Amino acid sequence: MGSIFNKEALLSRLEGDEELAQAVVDVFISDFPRQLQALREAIENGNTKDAIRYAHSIKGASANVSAERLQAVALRLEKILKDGDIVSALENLPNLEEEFKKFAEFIKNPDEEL
Amino acid sequence: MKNPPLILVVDDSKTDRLIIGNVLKKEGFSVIFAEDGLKAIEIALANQPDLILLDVVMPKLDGYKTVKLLKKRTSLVDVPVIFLSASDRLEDKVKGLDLGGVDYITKPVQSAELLARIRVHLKIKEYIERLQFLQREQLKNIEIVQRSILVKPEDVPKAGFAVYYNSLTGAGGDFYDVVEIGDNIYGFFLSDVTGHDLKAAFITSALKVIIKQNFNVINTLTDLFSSIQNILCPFMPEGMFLSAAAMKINRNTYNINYITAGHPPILIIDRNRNVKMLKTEADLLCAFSNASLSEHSGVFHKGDRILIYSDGLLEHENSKHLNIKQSIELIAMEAVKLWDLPLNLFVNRLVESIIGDKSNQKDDITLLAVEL
Repeated sequence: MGSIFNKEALLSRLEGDEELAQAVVDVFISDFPRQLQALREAIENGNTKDAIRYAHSIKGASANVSAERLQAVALRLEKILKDGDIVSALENLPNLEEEFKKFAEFIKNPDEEL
Repeated sequence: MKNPPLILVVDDSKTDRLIIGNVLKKEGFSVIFAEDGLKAIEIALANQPDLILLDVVMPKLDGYKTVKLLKKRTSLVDVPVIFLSASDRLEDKVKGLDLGGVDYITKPVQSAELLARIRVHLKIKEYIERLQFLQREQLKNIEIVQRSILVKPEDVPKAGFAVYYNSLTGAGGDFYDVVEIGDNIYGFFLSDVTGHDLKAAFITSALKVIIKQNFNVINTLTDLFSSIQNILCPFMPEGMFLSAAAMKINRNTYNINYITAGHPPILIIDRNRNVKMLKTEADLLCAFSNASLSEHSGVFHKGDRILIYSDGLLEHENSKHLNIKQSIELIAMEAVKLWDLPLNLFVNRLVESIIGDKSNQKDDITLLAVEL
């Protein structure tokens, strides 16, 4: 399923720019709650089209920071939504939130075992 | 191309804007951002970027719809658009390229790949701009040469003519000439070569030489057109031909010989505002190896006005709903209305009243008027 945070992959994409990598991760973490909220509202309102787009951008943003597990969960959610399975999507939302928490925690304390 | 090149990044994702913006700025590019397709169009129109990076999945207007709208604007049609997308499906890439994208980069973006692709497309853009500049310069030079071979009314004042000449691109396919061929006898020639590029411009130069050598007292108009057929046509590129009209006017007797080949009819308007159309049944020159040629003649009166013109005066924005016959009638009608004006004013007003705004012009326009 990949790692919580694949720092090597991120740095390699950014040509080793540590400062930029840190900035991207910070922006991602501060922006994520808003994105999650938008996705939740779209799912709860049954607005599948918007929900797919939000899941897609969460997947993209996760890929940008090499949050591999989070990216995988977002991808699964996007697929579920594309199948039109709103109930399943609602059930999967907490997983997404859970994975994000793990990611944010890992960034804060990278040395702790999770 | 701006220096440094200006790149518009269109992406609804904050992290993508941050990564791409930083990578580009670090390499010295100027960067502007838009968060959706609608804003992208607005910003692109206002800032004229050198290249656009365009995300596919976005709110409001997605990347595919955005590129379609961008490519409709003449100021933006040549700006290279590179798509950014998380999808690496072949059909998505092909769709992006079909719609006018020059490249496609899959997300998450690798900074090295992004920079390499941007550099390639900026280089191509620079080459295209340089090529376009050189072509424009070349056309300008041709225009100067062409204008210098076009005779002005003051060069042959006794011929009694006025002319309107406007080439669409600089290197025109229209050509006219007025020569003194005897005591008070003048030759008038007007032709329209298909196309208005460099080839057409060289052909008009060749026509100038042929007319100088062959438009004289000895040769008939039929001889003149035969000379064009025999001398020029063998050298014409495949698929190029010309229409032409010529007159020999004897200002002592008001006798006029005339010939037209695949050309709109010559119009004669007398003092009583009666209109006559003069035309001979000959095909376009150089279109057929054995075009049959014959000239006619008639005697007219002092004060009559004679118009020869290229078909740019027949085919323009205002003539969209007219057939050729109606377009010719329109010229005759307007000419009758403006008949009282002095000849040089008459030709300019006549073109103006027929075409309207210059932007309606679709082809080179030449109108030559002679007063007997």
